[in-house]
Amino acid sequence: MDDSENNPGAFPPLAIDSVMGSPHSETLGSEFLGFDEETATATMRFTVKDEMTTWRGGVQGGLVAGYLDDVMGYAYVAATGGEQAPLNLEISMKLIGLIPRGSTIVGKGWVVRAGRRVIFLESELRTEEGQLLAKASSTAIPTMRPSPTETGMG
Amino acid sequence: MTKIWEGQRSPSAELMGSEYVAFDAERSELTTRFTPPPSFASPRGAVQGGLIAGFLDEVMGGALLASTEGSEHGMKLPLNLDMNLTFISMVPLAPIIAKGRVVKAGKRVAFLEGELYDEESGKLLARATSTALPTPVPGAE
Repeated sequence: MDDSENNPGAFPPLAIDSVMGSPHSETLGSEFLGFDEETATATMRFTVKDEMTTWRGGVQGGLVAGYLDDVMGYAYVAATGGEQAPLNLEISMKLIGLIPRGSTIVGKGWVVRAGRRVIFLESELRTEEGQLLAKASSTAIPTMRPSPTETGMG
Repeated sequence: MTKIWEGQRSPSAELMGSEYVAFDAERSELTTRFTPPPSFASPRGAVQGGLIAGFLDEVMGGALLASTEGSEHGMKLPLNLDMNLTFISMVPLAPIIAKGRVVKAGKRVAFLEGELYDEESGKLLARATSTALPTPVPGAE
């Protein structure tokens, strides 16, 4: 059996380097699971923090975009070996299931097409059992890898 | 008595530093101020793109809540089905003004829209539209 699906390659060190310690990663409870170079797909795990949720007991709808953006963004960061990052122009998302307080979810994000001027990305979130929770697509422009003092926009 | 959308805050609204500013019943438009927490910063030092949707959802949802208060079918909160976001400018870690409106609230579906502005310069930062199911306010029934 081909186990590459379950054991994607390690995240490129430079890509991890560029995002470690970013405040939003802490808020999202992000953890890198791997990156598959062939399909330009990043896999991450998120632990839902209580402060992300509403009275319904799940993540506030808008904030779901935080997880979706994170994993598709890192797919591009990893695909460029940590040299570039996407700057979003637009995100469209569908919210399919409630993401309960305290749950752990798995995100997959991939690069649909990376042009010189425009990037197309997609992502989805699932329960650990594989049930689909949300999907997104994004249109973005590539920028150099940002740092806390440089936006990367040159 | 403080109205629910002026006073009570969910954990996510608390996190985003949400403050009620005004509600215009004629336009079904809610205005809110947010102070993005430092924990929303991306490596660019501004609010991470996806998390920007949190502010827009909060103000659009509040607009539906405020506009359905006292209505025939009772107060409603949106359960979002989809959201489309346009990012016009980076959202700084500084106070922002959010406006959310009910475009149409039917019995089965609500259409909402919203914008974020830089409080200091008044510059438009982001826009959103959302399709949602109007549902009873949890705990209010």
